[in-house]
Amino acid sequence: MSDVTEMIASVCATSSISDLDRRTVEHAVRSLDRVLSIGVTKQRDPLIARIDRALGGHSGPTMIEGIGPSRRYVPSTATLTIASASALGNIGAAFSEQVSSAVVASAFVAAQLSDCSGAQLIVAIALGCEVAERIRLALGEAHVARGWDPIGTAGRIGATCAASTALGINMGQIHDALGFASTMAAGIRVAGRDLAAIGAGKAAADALEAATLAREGLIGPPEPIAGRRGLIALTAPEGTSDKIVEGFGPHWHDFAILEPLELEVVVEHLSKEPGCRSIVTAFHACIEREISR
Amino acid sequence: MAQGVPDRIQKTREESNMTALEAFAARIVSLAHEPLPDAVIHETRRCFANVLGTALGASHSHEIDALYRAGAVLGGAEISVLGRGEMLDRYFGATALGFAAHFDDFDDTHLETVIHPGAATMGALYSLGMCMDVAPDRALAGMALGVEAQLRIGLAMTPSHYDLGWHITGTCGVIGAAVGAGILIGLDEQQLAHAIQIAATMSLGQREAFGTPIKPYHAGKAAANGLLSAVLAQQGVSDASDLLTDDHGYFALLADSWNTDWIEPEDLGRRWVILDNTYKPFPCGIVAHPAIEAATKLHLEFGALDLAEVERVSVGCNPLVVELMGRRVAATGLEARFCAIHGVAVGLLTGRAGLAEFSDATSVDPSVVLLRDKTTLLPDEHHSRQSATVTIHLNDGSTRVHHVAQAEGSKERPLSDAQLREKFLALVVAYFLGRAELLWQLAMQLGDGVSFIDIDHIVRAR
Repeated sequence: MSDVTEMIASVCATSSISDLDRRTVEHAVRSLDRVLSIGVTKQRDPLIARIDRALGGHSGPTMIEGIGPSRRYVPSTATLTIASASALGNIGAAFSEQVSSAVVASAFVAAQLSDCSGAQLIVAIALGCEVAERIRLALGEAHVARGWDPIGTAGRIGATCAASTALGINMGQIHDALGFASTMAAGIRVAGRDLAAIGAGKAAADALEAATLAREGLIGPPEPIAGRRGLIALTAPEGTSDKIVEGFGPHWHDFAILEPLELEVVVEHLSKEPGCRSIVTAFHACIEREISR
Repeated sequence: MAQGVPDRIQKTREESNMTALEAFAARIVSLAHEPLPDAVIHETRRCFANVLGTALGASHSHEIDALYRAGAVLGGAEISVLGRGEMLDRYFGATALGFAAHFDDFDDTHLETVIHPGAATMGALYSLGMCMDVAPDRALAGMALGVEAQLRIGLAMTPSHYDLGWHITGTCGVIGAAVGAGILIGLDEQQLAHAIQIAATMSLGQREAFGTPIKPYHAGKAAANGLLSAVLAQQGVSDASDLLTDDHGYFALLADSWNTDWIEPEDLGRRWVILDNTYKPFPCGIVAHPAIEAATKLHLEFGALDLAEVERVSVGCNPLVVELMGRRVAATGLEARFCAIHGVAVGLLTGRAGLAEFSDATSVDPSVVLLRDKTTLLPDEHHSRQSATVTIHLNDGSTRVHHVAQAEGSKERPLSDAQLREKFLALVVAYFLGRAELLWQLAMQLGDGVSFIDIDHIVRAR
């Protein structure tokens, strides 16, 4: 199939909150809540301090609320720390839960850069989770059995859709962003928690980078996902792109909706003020509360 | 036993309890503390000077502008590279350097693997060299061993890896960048093994992206990811398994077959594969170079072509030319770099095939387009990758033929230092007028009292 990437880009560029069913919205909101909440509880993990020291990013033209000793980071570092911290809390969980770390982190930081609405952030997360799941199914079980980390492959694509949607770039740019994401989608499944968490963080940060490079005008190939030398061909030769496109748009995956967490970052604040900034404020408050414990 | 290999590394891995990756890393660290052979020093400097030139030559392209804008939004403001005023953090700096070095497809090529090894290594090291004091001998060792390590990783997977569709410059470049950066920051054996492990999880590069700016991005991102891998390893990040050679590790995922002899410690330092690196005389895919050279020779021999007299042009070539550069239409300079018939057409028309002949404007020049349309690739297994025959068939039935048996810039006919200098000056002079010769001289003295910061002082001089 030659138009898989175009279809994904098209759905991402045109979807709005009204296209989502109630259950999909609930899953996206809950994912946002859980990723930020879990990330906050993991902020003192030694790995986060190591990432903080390695990446730096403590000063720059644009500073974003992140997780770790320095609190505020440049967007790429913020994305990586949020996703990595969250991933530390869901090692070994189902794919849909693990991938939410990368999807939510990239969307959350992109939303702050674009100052998009809370509704658009929810759409971005829903699309990211949906695309990641569809790519995972397309790559198949053999992909994972061979040794690929689906968070690094399928998750990177989903996170790019999430970042692109939250940034508000157009269909052509999303297509190009998927070109960058696809070519970077090559994570190896690892045994230890630290590299697994960093893998999720890199998927998120690379996704935001892919969307930003595309927004700045760098172009990609016509079919990076289903092309002859593209993602599926190289990492899952027996895979099929049909599972990506079948019903995509009108039908949403029936994800399990997980229980809310103690911190309840998002649900409460979205109900009061449905804007991206209110979630950032809530996130900040949670970090403060966690630090004071 | 190989001379100079420490006993501890020399023991079999079973005796020393080292994994293949650990033994590889340990030997690299030991080599970093030994004097490099003169030939290796000279080739490392040629490699460095060449990619410095290609990076500076591409430093003001629109694509680099875009990358800088993205880096300014997403990253910190830590260093200035490529002689530009804007600031980037070290990771976007490495990306920009590696991207620029490979942007015009005019950098180096290790012909057996088709790796362009200089870009990612230089990108990581030069960027890091702007953030810390790097002793000249460390700079040289990092560059030499970063290139050597990535070539050996590539050789271990050749030819399967590239044939499958991976862009080996990105997938192996990240290892070279990690090794080079690891040497600069003084990682010990275990830390360097961890850096390679981490880099293995951050490899990238699919050939589907050829013909787009994502191809040079592979080299740039490999530089950034390699640098990050080394710094994470320094901070204590690691994984328990040997991610390079495990059953489900890097080699197994990226190739159908591989040969770990290339990373055996006994072989490192006994011979140096960096000595097989070559430098491109034309800014496009290396497989088309024999045909382009034949075309330029025909121009020199017979003068300018009258297109009205040309019935057709046939190009006898290795089948890989069609596989990698078989594009028939080129609407941009970037696309022209993957269009062998474009290189032949400009060679026949002008006798040259430099950056100007691979520009956006030339790619849509009507006479070039017309001659491209008249040109056909004839793949033939009997042609080696280094040979090609270009035949001009004229309307009167006569032909003009030129055969190249070994292309200029190949291992057998390498560019001399004088030719490399000429290439460097041509690339650099546009933006660094008055400093080009000094930059060339400093680049060719890397390690001899000269480090990256010394070169960058001249790059940034106004």
